[in-house]
Amino acid sequence: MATLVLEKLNLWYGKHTHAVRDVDLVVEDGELCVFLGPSGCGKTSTLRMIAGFVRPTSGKIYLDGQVINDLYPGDRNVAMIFQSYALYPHMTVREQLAFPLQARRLSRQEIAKRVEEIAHFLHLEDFLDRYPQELSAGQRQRVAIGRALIRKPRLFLMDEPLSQLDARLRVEMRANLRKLQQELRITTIYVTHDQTEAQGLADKIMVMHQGRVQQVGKPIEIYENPANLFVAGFIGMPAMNFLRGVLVRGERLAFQGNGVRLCFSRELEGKLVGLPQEEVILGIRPEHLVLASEEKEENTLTGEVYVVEPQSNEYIIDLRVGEEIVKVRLEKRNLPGSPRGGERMRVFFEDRYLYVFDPVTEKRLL
Amino acid sequence: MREEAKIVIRRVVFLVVALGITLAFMFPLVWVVLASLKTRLEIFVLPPKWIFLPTLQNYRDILHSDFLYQLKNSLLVAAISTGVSLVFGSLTAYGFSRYPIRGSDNILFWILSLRMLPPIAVVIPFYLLFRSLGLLDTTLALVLVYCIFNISFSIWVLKGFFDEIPIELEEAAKLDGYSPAQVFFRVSLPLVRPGLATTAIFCLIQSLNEFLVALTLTTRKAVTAPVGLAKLQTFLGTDWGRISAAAVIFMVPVVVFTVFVRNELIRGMSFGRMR
Repeated sequence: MATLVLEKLNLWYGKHTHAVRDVDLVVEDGELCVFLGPSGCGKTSTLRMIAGFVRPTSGKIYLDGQVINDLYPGDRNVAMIFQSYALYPHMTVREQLAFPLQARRLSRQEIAKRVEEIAHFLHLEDFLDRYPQELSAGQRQRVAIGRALIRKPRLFLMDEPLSQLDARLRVEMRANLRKLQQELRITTIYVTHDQTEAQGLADKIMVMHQGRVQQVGKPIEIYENPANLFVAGFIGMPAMNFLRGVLVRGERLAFQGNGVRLCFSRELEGKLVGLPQEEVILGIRPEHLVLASEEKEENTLTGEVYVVEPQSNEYIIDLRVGEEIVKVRLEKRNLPGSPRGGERMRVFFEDRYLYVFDPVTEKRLL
Repeated sequence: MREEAKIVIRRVVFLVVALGITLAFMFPLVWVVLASLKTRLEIFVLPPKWIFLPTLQNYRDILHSDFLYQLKNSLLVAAISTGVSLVFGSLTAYGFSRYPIRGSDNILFWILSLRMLPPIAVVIPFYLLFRSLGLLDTTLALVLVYCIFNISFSIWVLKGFFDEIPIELEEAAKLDGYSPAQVFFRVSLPLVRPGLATTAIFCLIQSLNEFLVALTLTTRKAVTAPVGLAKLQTFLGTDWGRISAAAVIFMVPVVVFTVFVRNELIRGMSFGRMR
């Protein structure tokens, strides 16, 4: 049970690699915070600073109000699940589970009791005398969780703990992890590059890119109100469509892009007129586009069906609009039949689903 | 059918070749063992006699000579220098493997160069050194010299094994509350056991077989088995029967040790990946 605060955290590897830049973050007691970002974005480096494996170049890490920058990893009472699980190959499951307790010099009886408890809790009773090599991936992961839980840590760190599991087991373990964390209310940091995982698990997401924090917020906030172009493009499957172009101010305001011409509803026009610049990037999510009738003019894009990817209950359609490809996600039940390549298609979006970004600063304008 | 025939032929060829190689390597050993059981006359009979009445006279003779004492010297020197080399070698190798050391490549090469030195180049300086230290004809002198060769070898072999251990295993142990020294003894060292076995065998064989330094630095008290064996060649002639018997006895410790650690050894030789 603990509150974690990161304050102006910086990490340099040598003189040339600035891996983590000015990271500020507050993780409340019992919260599960996901560090999300592509590989090399600094999320794992941040985690390793919290664990104590690397020392921050500057900035402070507070755990329950105490600065832990210079504390030895073993003195932080922090537990970690590694991507590879890091189970000791020369120890049986029983020995692995007892290992952290032996370091605390607990009595033999106390250790045996707690090992039994945790084994029961994680359904590992039948495997206690096996070696890690003799376990399945899912069992190994449970051992790793058990080894982390058994000493009742203040903070739980997880470094892509599901990445070694196959797709089905991953979804199952994701739900289990979430349930476990909610039951125990242990403050948790979870590192992943998988946005679906982040959306499914997190109380709070910190999106990172090139060592910087891009946005911190609830999963739904990050999805609905991305702070900038990177976050908008990173969150969502398939990714948000981006259209580069200029706003042309005539009798009515219009967007002129790469062979794309788009006019807006009166209400949206009113907002767009207020923008200081002409060059913009428009963003529309594939799932926010719906089929439009022929007479509709405003907020519509017209194009030619280029590729159709049928999914179980929907189609993902690549629509060629001018020189751009726009992805559209349509539910099967809303369509008369399967769209064919070459077919003309008109799609519409509501006012609230249009995002506007500055092409230079990449900040969100609207 | 033709496919099956091919497979059978391939297997037969493989077996014949494997058998041939095994026999070629076994032949000197068999020869020595047989010679140790023959009388002086039988050893030189041409064509060699494969069936004869074995005698243990050679063993009786050799066991009543200085050979046992020399063998004890050999084993003592080999065991101590191997043990010392493993201790220093594993600690140093771990340091080089895990901690950033300025110029570590150069230092490692320098350590290896000690091993590349031909013994004949240093044997006279060693002789002078040990003479002024009053250590001539002592097992301590031999232990010291063998350690120089064996430690550098141990460092190189064991560094490779330590490099193979995923760093997360050590990080996990640190988070679990173990100090760096405890991490070394409880996690890293047990994981390089195959490496320790391999290194031990090589150091042991190297120290047992060493001849030149032992010949130069010892006279009576600290004479080792190889030197003692060579001294069986006298101006009165060479007693091949006794030499063979001594050689057979001399092989026993290495064979026993190898059998003892053979599982680790196989894993060590194949440099098995650890995960």
